[in-house]
Amino acid sequence: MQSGPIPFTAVRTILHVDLDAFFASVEQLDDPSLRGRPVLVGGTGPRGVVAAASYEARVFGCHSAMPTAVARRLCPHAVVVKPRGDRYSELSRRVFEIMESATPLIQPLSIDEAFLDVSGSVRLLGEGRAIAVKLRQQIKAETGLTASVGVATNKFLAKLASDLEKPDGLVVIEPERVREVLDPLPVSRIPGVGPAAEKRLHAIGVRTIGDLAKLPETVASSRLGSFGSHVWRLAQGEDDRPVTPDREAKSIGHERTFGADLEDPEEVRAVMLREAEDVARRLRRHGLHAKSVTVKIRFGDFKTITRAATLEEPTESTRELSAAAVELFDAWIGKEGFRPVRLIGVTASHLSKGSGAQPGLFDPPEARDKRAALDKAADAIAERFGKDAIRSARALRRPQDR
Amino acid sequence: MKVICDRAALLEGINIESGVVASRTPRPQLTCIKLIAEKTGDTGRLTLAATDAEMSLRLISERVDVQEPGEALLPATTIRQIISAEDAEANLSFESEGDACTIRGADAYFKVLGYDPKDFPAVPEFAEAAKNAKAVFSHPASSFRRLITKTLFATARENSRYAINGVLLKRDGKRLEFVSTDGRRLAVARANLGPDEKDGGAVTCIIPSKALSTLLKLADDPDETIRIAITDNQIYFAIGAESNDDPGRACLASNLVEGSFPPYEDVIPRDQDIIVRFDRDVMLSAVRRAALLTNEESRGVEMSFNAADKTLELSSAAPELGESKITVDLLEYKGDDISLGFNPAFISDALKVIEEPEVIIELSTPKKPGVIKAGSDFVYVVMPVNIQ
Repeated sequence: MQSGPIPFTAVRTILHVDLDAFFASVEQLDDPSLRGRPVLVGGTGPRGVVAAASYEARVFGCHSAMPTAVARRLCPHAVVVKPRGDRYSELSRRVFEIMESATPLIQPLSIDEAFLDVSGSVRLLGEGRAIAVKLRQQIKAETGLTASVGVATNKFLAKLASDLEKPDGLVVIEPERVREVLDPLPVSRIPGVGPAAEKRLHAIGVRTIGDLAKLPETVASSRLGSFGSHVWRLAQGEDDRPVTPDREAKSIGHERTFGADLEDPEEVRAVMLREAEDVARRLRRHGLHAKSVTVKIRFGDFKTITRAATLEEPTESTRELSAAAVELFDAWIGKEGFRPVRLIGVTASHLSKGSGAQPGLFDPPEARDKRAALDKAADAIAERFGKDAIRSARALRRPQDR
Repeated sequence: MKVICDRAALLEGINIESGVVASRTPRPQLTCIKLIAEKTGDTGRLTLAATDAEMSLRLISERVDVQEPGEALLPATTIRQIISAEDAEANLSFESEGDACTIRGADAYFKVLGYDPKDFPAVPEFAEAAKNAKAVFSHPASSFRRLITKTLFATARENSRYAINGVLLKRDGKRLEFVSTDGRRLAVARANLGPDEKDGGAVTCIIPSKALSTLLKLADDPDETIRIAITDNQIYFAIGAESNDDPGRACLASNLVEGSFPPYEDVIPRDQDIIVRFDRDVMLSAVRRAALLTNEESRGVEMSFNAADKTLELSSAAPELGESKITVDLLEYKGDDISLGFNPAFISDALKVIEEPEVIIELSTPKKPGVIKAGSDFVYVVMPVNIQ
């Protein structure tokens, strides 16, 4: 029985699982009236951005990261829905649980996308295609969502495969079909080949991945620098990067952009406190403690600064996290003076499981237990009635209350 | 100024002074060492002085031949490197020319550019400080060393709430007490005052860690006496001084840490139910071994005390690293079984500075602090960690 990652010299079976138009699909799933209609998930304010577009909206050229106003112009009959992060996290968690039944070697790329190394599960669960079929069925049955899955011998090919028949597709690139699939694709399909590299390749007549694969490796690296030989190897269909499960998120953060810049530091503090509350709640939900807190401030002119502090002890406490965030913000004001703020964000990082957390000698355990109990009670209320159902009084001052 | 010095003796002094100079400052004079050569009768005397504006140190050496009295102010790093590298020489000569100074060995010549010695901040005299002091007293260097060693390790670097980036000195009619804490553990070391020093009034102050670590390098002669003067915002130490007017061989002056020390007496538990006596070396070895399988994510070592067997089992486990179990035979055990977690570094830090071969730890519950005691002059309170 093999444990741990399979050495990459052996033939591997890698899956790339990608939920189709995830946020938009969730909205169509929960509200049947949206099914079959173009849906845009995103901010509705003057500076709102599309987080996801349903396939019906994509037909009109709408895509994620596009200003909502632009997407609306392209597709005036689209329904714009505000994102519901908690619901997406819930379904994402469910999908990751399903994937965990296939292998522990899962590398999440985002909330709706992951690589799976199933090499060790093949004897138990069948070949790659069979595992992919089963995963897709299970995801559909348990969440109602569709996923596109690519199956190949490495990450590059698997990701390419999942994209070939999106949405709701399953593509297996067998080793003998690699050239047939890769050769006609434009070089820009190789991750990392952006407009600049593409231009340099076009200059020597290299347009498709097939063209690039036929070049000697030295020519590729002389054209594209040190990065060239990596790209050349991908063009050969070779990619030995392992699937590295990162057990935990590296950081948990919330940030918010305002429709109009906030002119009052007290309003900014109130938003920060709410963000810190949400961050602390997520830490507790995942059983994590944070050792560092970062505050990100963006001004009207898009200049952005970040300020970070290392805590004495890792914490999951709303109070400690909020205090650290506000202290950073106040230190910035004290040093450089307040300017109207366009965006404010709070991020917790250096995360660990709480084991070994060291309570302070001058912080009476009774007070500490009381605060933990308060956090727990607040979490229960937020879980049941939504996170805005319970807020600290200071965090309740909202820009729209003016 | 022209002076011929014993290289080895000079290097020792320059090394200590180099630890005092400021590391980052807009004032280059604070990165320098001042050399003051004087003639007293037929012998010469060389004083080395440095300051970082928070503390200052003067060292006096008689092992010099002063041919021409005078002063020089020279960058500490440069002269330390030169004196250290000239290791084939028994003696080096220093001769000032304006703000520069030439250093000569048998086959070498260096001209080091310095600053006007008048621009060096005035370094206060012990005798002057003693006149305005709240307290002046003497204490044996050996006892002082012990007090520093047993507390300095537990200080904090910075703390926004309390002034704990230093050691609290507390002197009452009979005793001298040093207290330090980083908020998670607390060390208290005590010493009796000599018979002549008992009558002075009570005084407390917080001494910065840097001053004490410098003092530790200076107080290396156990037979010497250290004379201490405490004013409203400074503390002075004259090492090897017999009276207030005697500057001794070294004089350290430091600003005190401002702010309040936490109410430490309230957190020293009394009447703990569980009392364990153990061998210091056996425990230190066990804790160090258990610590091998801890990491930043899983720092705690679980300590499970078994009353019936009079044993302690230490266990540690870190994800992706492994786990350990170490059994320790205890000398004496009073109370019920208990299992709790500690940061192993916090336990070994204390055991390392204890001289007594037998040590006592007193416990009550897994969430309440433990107390380590050795002899009658050391108490160490440590907060347990949460073990999951």
